[in-house]
Amino acid sequence: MKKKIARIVNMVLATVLCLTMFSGPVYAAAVENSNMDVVEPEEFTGFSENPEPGVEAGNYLSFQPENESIPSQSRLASARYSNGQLIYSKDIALDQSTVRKERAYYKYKISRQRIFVKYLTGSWAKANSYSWSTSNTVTWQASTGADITVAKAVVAKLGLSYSRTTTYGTTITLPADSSKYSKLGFASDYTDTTYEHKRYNNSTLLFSKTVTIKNPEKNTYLRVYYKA
Amino acid sequence: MRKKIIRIIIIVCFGIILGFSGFAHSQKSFFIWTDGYVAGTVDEEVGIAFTFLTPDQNLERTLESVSFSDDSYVSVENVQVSKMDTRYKVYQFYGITVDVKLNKPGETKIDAVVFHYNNGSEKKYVLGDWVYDIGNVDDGGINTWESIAASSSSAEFAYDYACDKNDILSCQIYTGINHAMQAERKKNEKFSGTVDISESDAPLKYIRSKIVYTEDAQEKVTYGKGCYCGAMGLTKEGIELSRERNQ
Repeated sequence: MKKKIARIVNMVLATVLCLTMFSGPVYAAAVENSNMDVVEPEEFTGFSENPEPGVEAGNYLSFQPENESIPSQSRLASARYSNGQLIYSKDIALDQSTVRKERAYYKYKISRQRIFVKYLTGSWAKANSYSWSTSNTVTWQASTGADITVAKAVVAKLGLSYSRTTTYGTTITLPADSSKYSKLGFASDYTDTTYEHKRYNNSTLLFSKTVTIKNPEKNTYLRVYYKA
Repeated sequence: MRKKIIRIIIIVCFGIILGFSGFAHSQKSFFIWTDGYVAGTVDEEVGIAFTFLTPDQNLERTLESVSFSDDSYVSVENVQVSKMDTRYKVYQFYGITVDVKLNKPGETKIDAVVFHYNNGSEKKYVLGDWVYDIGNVDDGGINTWESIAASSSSAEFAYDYACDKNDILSCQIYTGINHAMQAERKKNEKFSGTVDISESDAPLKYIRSKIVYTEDAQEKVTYGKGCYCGAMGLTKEGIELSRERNQ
């Protein structure tokens, strides 16, 4: 009788051991293999399409997304800069007697909310609803004529974002006023930073240029835009 | 000795079977945890999209209809199932879009839907905490068509309401999650701002707001068109949170 009980206890213990051994690795394998496949984002084409009146439509260069993550601490650091503060400095020896000096001086920054980025649907239509379930990317921009090397360095120095990609794992269905022409659009919060770029050869000023860079913030939006 | 080996083999097999059944259990289908507040008028139909994760690759062929367990206040009039390109672990993403009809005035709470399959079987799935707030009339004094329809933040409800009536300079916005918020504007400007809805931990929230304002000394009501807060910012953590809560 005692032997029987001992055998049953052994079996129960062994079963528990097996459960621990097998369910753990199986679940762990599933976690390790996890990945989230997202539809390839559309290429951002800048403000080529003229949006609604009152929506931003300036002359800006836009850039492809760069997968550079900015630590949140450095983002906070950008708030510490004051007007006139040197934020970029580089000296390049052009020849034995000439040194090219690149300098950028911080001026100010502005936060802007819900700024139009691009339309997601083609032509204007009297639609009664829109559905959307793919990914979008919004990228940074610099005003036309800006030196991109300097602009990139300023973005990095100020801890701003080069791009934001929305990961839509969800389906969205939204109604539209079918009595008006409309398009589905994508919008984002931005930080606009303005700085003065000065270029010297030795101590001779070659040019001084005011540059504005527009960097996307984390909040992005979908909304229906109506034809005026 | 031989008996012992046989016994060990049996025990190991038993353990494997149990282990795999536990894994199968962990793959149960679930909805992305979505809390909701739907305000509207009687007889209005509201299209709402839900995101469903399942290992089933043929849901669009096997799901026949969707209903609420109590359809006295709200009922599902139509359902559309769309297979999405997104996958997560063993799960396939599906968009389940339902047209919800608001049947009678009042307020009701619903936290789940029932799936009816072609083979006659039924299964109940939890969505989150949902409140339907149904009124009799939409006075329409504030234009809500151009407001935000989806956002990346599940912690705030963003709104942009236009109004061409210069005597309406303030309103109260109800989101169901937080208390009613007083919104104000200057003449020829929009009602624009955000309402904190971080009280709910759901990674996704659907808010169809109720807007109360005063015109000609009378209290009037109009409604938002619906906003999916957090829909553009769903993360792996949000999916895991949904799995823990709704599976």
